[in-house]
Amino acid sequence: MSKIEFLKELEANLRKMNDSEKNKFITYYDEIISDYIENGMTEEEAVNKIGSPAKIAVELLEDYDSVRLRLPITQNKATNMVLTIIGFPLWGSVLLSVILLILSGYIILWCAPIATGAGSVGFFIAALVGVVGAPFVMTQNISIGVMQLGAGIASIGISVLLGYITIVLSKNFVIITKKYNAKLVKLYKKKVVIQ
Amino acid sequence: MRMNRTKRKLINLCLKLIMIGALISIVGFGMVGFNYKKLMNQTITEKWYHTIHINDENLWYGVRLGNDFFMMNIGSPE
Repeated sequence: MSKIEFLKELEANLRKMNDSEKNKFITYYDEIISDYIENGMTEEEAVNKIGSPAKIAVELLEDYDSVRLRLPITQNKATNMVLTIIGFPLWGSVLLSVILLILSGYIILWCAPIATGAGSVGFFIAALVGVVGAPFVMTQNISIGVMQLGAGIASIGISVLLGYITIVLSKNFVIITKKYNAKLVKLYKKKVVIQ
Repeated sequence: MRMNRTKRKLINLCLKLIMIGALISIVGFGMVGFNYKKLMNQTITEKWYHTIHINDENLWYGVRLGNDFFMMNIGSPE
C-alpha cells in the first residue's frame, strides 16, 4: 500500500471526526511515514510498520469522545504521582469548587418545593390549632374567636394548595434531577486519555 | 382527564376555603365595627390555642409554642 492510499483509507475511516481533528491525524501519519522513508525505508515498508489504517482509525475514534488530560511529560510514573500530590492545592480546590457548584445547583433546584412543603406543614398546624382553639377563644372574646376560626379555615385551604404545589414541583424536580445526574454521570464515564 | 377534573376540584375547594375563611375573619373584625383600637382594647389572656395575637403594638398570626418559639407566624411576634 502506498502512502497516498494509506492516508486516503485513514481519511475515509475517520469520517465521523470533524475536519480539523481528522486533518491533524492525517498530517501526523503523513509526517511519520515521511520520517520512515527519510530513514531509509521504502514507502511500502513504512506503511506496513504503522499498521492497518482501519485499525488505527478505530483506536482514534475510541479516544475521540474522551477527556484529554495533558500531564507533565516526565516519562516516570513516580514523578507524575509526586507532581500530582504537590499540585493538589491547585487541582483540589478546583475540584472542590466544581463539587460545591453542583451541590449548590441541587440546593437551588430544591429550594422551591422545600419552601412550599414547609409552608404547607406550617399552615396545617396553624389551621388545626386555630379551628380547634376557636370555640375556646370565643368564650373569652367572640370577635377574635370568629377571626381565628376564619383564619383557620383559610389556612386549611392554603395548606392543601401548598401541599399540592409541593407534590407537582417535586415530581417535576425529580425528573430534572435525574436528567442532571445522568448528564453528570455521562461526563465522568468518558474515557480519560493521558497525553 | 379524570385526574385533571379531580385536581381542578381540589384547587377549587382550596380557593373556596380561603375565601370563606377570609370572609369569616372579616365578619369577626366587623363585630368590633372594623375598629382596630377597639379590638386592641379587648385584651384576652393568651393561651397556646390562640393563633391571632393582638397586643398594644402589633397583630400577628401563628402558633406560640414557647416564650421564644413560634410557628407559622405572619407578622412580627416581637
